[in-house]
This record gives sequence, C-alpha cells and structure tokens, in this order.
Amino acid sequence: MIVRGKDITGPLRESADVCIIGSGCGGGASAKILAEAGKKVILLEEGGYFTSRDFDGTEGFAYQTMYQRRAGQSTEDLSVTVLQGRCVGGSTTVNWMTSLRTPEFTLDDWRHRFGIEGLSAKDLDPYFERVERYLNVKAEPDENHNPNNRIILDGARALGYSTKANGRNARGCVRSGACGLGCPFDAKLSVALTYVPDAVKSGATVYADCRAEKIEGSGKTKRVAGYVLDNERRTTKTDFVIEAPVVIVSASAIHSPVLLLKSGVCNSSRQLGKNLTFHLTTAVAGRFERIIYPSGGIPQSAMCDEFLNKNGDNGGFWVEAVPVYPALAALAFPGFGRAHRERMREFPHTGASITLVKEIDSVGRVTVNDHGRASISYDPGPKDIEYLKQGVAAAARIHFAAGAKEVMTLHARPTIIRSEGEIERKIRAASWERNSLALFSAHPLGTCRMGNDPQNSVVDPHCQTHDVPGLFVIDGSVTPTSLGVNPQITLLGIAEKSAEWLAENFAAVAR
Amino acid sequence: MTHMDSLHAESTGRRRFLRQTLFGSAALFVAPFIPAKILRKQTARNTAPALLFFTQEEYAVMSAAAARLTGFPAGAPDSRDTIDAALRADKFLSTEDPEIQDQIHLLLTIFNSPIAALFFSFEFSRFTSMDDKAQDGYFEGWMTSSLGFRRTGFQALKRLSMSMVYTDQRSFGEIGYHGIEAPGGAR
Repeated sequence: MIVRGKDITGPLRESADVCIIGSGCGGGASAKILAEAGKKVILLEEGGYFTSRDFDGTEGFAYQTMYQRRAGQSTEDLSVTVLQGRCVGGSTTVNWMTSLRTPEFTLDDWRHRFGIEGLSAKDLDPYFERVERYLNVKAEPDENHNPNNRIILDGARALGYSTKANGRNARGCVRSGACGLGCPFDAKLSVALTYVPDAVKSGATVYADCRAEKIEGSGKTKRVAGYVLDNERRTTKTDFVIEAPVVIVSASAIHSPVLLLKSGVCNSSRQLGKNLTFHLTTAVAGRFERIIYPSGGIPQSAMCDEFLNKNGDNGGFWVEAVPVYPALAALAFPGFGRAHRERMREFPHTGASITLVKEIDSVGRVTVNDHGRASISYDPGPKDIEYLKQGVAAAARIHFAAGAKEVMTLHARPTIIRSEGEIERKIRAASWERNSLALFSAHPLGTCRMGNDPQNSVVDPHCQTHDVPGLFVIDGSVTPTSLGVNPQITLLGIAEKSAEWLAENFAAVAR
Repeated sequence: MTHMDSLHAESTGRRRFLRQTLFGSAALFVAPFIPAKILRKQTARNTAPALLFFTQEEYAVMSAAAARLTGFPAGAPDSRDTIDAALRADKFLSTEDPEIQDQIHLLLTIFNSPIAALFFSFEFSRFTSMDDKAQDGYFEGWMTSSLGFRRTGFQALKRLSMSMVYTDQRSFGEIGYHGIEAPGGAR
C-alpha cells in the first residue's frame, strides 16, 4: 500500500519490524528485500508519490515537486548546486539512468585504506548482476545515440580517447529525453517502478509526504518521529511516530547525517556529516553548425573514461553528455543580458558535455543549521581543481574534434574558446574562484562513511552503525570515497547486500 | 525544542554568507540605518500588481534586475508576449522557506542601496535609478567581484530571474525548444 500525505487525516501511530526513512536506491532496495523476507516494513518518504500520469515533461513541474529544495539546493555560498530527487523513488525518478558498476580501483582503495572486507569486485559482482538483470540494464546500440552523445563518441574516438556506451535501466524507451523530468512513458525502471511496488506486493507500507525529524530510543524500541506534510501548500498536517526494533536511514548523503545529528546519535567517531564528496561537475557547451537539439533523444548514453585514475592516484575525471533543458541551460550559460539571450537562441545548435571529478583532496561537510536543515559546505582541493581544469580542456577538445565551431565554459565571465589551440591558454586564464564557474553535483556521497574502525567511521561493512545496534544507514552516505562513476548501481548493490545480511541476521540485530 | 518548533523555526540562518566578508558585514550593519526613502524608490509601473512576497519597492528592483539579466522586457503586465519574471518570482518566493525569504529581502535591499553602490562602484545611486549601461556595469561588478558574497548575490539574482523566464513556455519558441518529443525515436 502506498499512502499519500493527503490521505492521512490524523496523527499516525504505527509499529513495524523495520522502519526505513527514504525511498531512493538504499531505502527502496532494502524495503523489497526485507519485505520479501517476511518482515513488516514501513517505508517513509519526505517527498510526494508521483506516477507517469503526473509527469508533464516540464522543468517547472519537475523542479517544483520532485527535486530537493525545488532544485535550489546548494552549498551555503551557492557555489555548487546539489541536485537530488525528493519523491518516492528518490533521485532515480529524475536521474538520467546511467548504470555503471563501481570501478575496481575504488573498491580496492576502500579495502586498503578503510579495512573494508566483503565489498571487493568479486563480492559485489553477483549483486551488480542481479540489479542489472532486475533493472534491464543494457548499453544502447550505436544507432540510438542522439547527436549530443555522438559528440562524445565521435570526438573522443577521433582523439584516441577511450569511450563507450554506458548501460541504462530502461525497457521500451521511446527516447523522449524526459528522463530528468520524470519518465511519462514508464520506460525508466526507477526504484519507484521496481523495488517499491515489489516491496508493496510483499506487504510493505509506503507513507509519502512524511518527513522524519528524529530517531529516539535503542534496543527493541526505536521510535521514528516526524511530520506528515502537505507538500503542495508547503505546510505540515499532523505528526507521526513509527516504532520498530530496526531502523534504516536512507535519506541520502545530505539528509541522513542531518537526521542522525538532530537525533544525537551515531557520532562517537566525530565523522558524521564529514567526508562529503560531490563528484564535482561542470560543463562545456559547443556551438555546432548542424542541429544537435540537446534535450531530445536519450540524454546520457555514452562517456569518455580515458582520464579516470590515469595517474594511479584514485582521482581524475570523466566526460559524459548532459541533456540541456531551457531553464537548466539558462542558469548555467555564462554572462547575462542580451549576450546571454543570444546564446539561448542557439539552443538547437548547442551540444553540451559534463566533466565529473572523482575527488581526492576536496573537503565537504554537512551540518545542521539553526533551523534543523542541512547546511552544506565544500572546499575544492587544489588537485581536484586541477583535474577540473583538465576535464574542461578534454571536453573542449572532444567538442572541437566532433566539429564544434566554438566552445564555451560555464564561467560567469564568458570564456569562449574558438579553436583547439586556444584551449589551454583560455582555461588557465579563467578564474576558478567560488561562484566564478557554475558547479553542480548530482552524486553527493560519503557523510556516514563505512569502515571497520569505529574511531573513524559511522557504519560497519554491513551498513549497521557502530554506535546503535539495529540502526542502519543504507544510502550514498556510506561510501568512504567518491566513486568516479554515476552511483546508482553501486548504491543498489550495496543496499541489496546489506539488506540481505540484515534479513539473515534479523533476530540477532533486533534484540 | 519540539519537533514542530524545529520544523517551523525559520528565520535568517543563511545570512551567514553575507557575514563572511568585511563588506558584507558592513552592508548588513549599515542597511538598517539607511532611511527608507533612500533605499526605496517607487515603482515606475502605473498599475501595481497584487504581490504575495515582494514589497512594491522590491518588486521594482527585481523587475529591473530580471530585465537586465535575462534581456527580456520588464515591468509590463503579464501578457501573452511578455514574461513578468518578477511577478513569477513573487509567487514562487511566497511559498519558499522563511530563511530563504529573509535572505532575498536582504539581498534586494543591499543590491538597490545607494550606500552599497557607493561602497562597491563609487557611485551613489540606486540600481533602479541607473541607466541600462550603468546597470550592466553594476551587475558586472557583482558577478566578478573579489568579494565572495557579491558573486553569491549575483548568482542568486541570476538563477531566480533565469528560472522564472525559461520555465515559462512563452520563452520556448524564441530558443527553438519544442518540449518533450512524442514517442517515436531519436532525432
């Protein structure tokens, strides 16, 4: 059963075996596995429950209703926009479906530096295979790439860079380009269309529009308290209390630490909220004579992985296509006024690629502000800034190799590169200070990091918190480092493995 | 503090970004003491729209700022051909969190303050009183300032203005965007 906030008329009091907070990758996969194991599961989601009938393919609707802070979530200084879903299915409802396994060098790094056993490629591959089968993850055949993705494939190949088609979790995709706005054709196999309904079939109850505010208690009686929201009016309706011996926090790397910090638990290591990574992202936009129409067709089906961990330092970057919708383009395109409007008029001839940095020396943190909300800070490190510059340069070279007439970066002061020969000079001359360049993150991770040592980590390798038995964190906040790839397959794999362990050990855990 | 308190206790937390610099602190300190008549200029509109969030003065600032930022005409009543970004922003912000609302009020006050303009641009003038060229120069100063909070303020105004214009379907025709395609395949 999926219950919307509007259908909850009075204070809600329930009990369950497991209460899960958040319905994205971690929460959705955990709910399915535990419900299928016979546990009474309650799944709470702060955002609304939407179906393909609601998705109208507009940015206005999508950003207002299905993104955190109406797509305005950012670091305190507005220097990095942090895009996350806020609806049943979490970010999988609005992501671009790129489905990639965790790079082996990243998993090796976790084992070496954090002593994490049981999460090697060999350990996780069976889970990844299961997830990929369940979500019908497949790479697109060559003829299905849209012109924007062809820039990556053709440009990178011309330069001799490694490039390939990435897997996507879709069935019956009509290539509408709407992925980031909610798929109106039910082709995207999001968590809302797969794990959540399967959990419900096995008896789980989903409460949408319910925001958890605090976790209290320990042992067999943990209480999750919060508010039922009227998300349309942006007000609260009533309150709820769910009692359960096992609680799983799956509210994302931004919001899970906030909930735990407000609850005053799980911070004996002083690591809660720290170690935030972003997969720091910026973009270049190329102007082509031919029509690209960057919002049409499959948004993200190819990438260039030439530069990831190329130096063996676990860092680097890679390049992917990015769908361009009008508002997103207008925010990101440089400058303002008439010149900006002229650039917008070139929309159909614009191709865009993002470069994403796997951070190694940036410092990010989530704390709780005076109003009980997430406060995000992020200082890019010099090595990561250097990779960002190299990433922008590589993306620009790819665009020129694919036929771009000029390439612009997303610097506030327009940086227009008119030939390949200008790339290095212009990129080195540009300002890389905060708010001098549009930066994004759609992959925040790491704020409740996993490790064997309770002194420097929040959860163990099964995602159970070191401090409170029966309290788990299963979401993007557990990864000890940036991944280097889009995270949904990693998070689903870890969630399936952790939930399976929990189901097998439930009696001991729930004591 | 109860759960309900924490849920509703919203005020000015995000002012922190303005407090982080000397000029930000100075502007915050000075703003309350500037006579309202200096800070505020009556809107040029003959017919004031019914507003949910902005004061009439703030609406005038937002309207002028959005016009310069987006390159779309300002101040005309919302019609088939004109996107009134400020009016859309007014509706959008009316349901925003109080901490964000406070921050926007403060930003518009400082942005249009002649004292701030004197600080930053050595020109004692409200933004709304400047001619087009001066307004562009003033924005350029905020956009590329060495002071972090001014760049942040510029980004806030730009994001608000652009998102109000380019989520409006009336802007789509000009840029050749025709929405999500019907089923059938890649272009």
